[in-house]
Amino acid sequence: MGDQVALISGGSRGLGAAIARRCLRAGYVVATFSRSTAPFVDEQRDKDPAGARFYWAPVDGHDAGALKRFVDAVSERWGGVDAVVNNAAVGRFGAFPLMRLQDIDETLQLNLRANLVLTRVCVPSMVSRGGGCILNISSVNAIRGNAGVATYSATKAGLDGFTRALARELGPSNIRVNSLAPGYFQSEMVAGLTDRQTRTLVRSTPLGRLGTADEIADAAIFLLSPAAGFITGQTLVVDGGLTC
Amino acid sequence: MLNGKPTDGEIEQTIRLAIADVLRRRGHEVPPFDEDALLVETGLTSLDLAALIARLEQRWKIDPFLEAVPITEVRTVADLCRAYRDFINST
Repeated sequence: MGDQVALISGGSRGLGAAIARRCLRAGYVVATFSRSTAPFVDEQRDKDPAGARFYWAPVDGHDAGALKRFVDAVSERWGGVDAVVNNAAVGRFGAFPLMRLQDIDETLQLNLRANLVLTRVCVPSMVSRGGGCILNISSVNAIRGNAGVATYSATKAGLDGFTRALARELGPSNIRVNSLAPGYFQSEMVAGLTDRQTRTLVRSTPLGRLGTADEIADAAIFLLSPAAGFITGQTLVVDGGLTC
Repeated sequence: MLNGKPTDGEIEQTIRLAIADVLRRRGHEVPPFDEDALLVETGLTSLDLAALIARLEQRWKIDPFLEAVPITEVRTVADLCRAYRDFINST
């Protein structure tokens, strides 16, 4: 059997890049896309100019045809996909009654529709190949109510529902489907918080600090691995105890 | 996309062989079936149908069910053949 193929949406920066880096270290070959390149992508392409173990392409998640062409290109290159990580997301925060309809649409399109479409185009070949693994990156905001993140929360809770239903449907085909719900970790999204908001979050977290992208990525690798072989349909919360 | 369109007969023959192959890989006997047979009567489950569509996509590089045809409209072998035939002829 060749190397396992992990396809990660939005793997050029932040948590997606951390998961991609961990996957490469764990021996996966990695395919990822984003709208534009980033230092992580450039670094990997410098190390692996032939694209033997890392493949990136510019894809806009709004474009279902482009998602399909990306999956076809990965299948052509490496014979199929073993693991899909639905990580791509956008955060449009603010008071819901004041939110622009365009921002609601953008959040629904990228955080929910794009991930469902990507899964839809990958699953038939996973069924045909006899198994696989799907990991949806959710959020603690899918589990606890917080002001200012209503649309974002709706999309992440939607992904959790998708996870449970799809796990039921695809279990008989040896495809596991799980969600990973990160709490607050050092990232571009958290960088937008005020110092006071950050201090409040840290005080509310039993472990007394924000997480790191690598800690979240470690949990992702666990859920993708054979060590999680009997886990499906679950949401693993990795939040330093924030929601306990 | 397709390199040279298959004929209607080739489409039907490929689909029949693919159904039989999917069933055999699952350890099922392949019952005799004609084109009016319900897919469920051949022993195919909905997930087998997904595997079948993946296999046909590998062959023809198309998936008519992604946008053009609701899978719920496909109940018989003939329906499946028609979905591929119509899609191929429309491209």
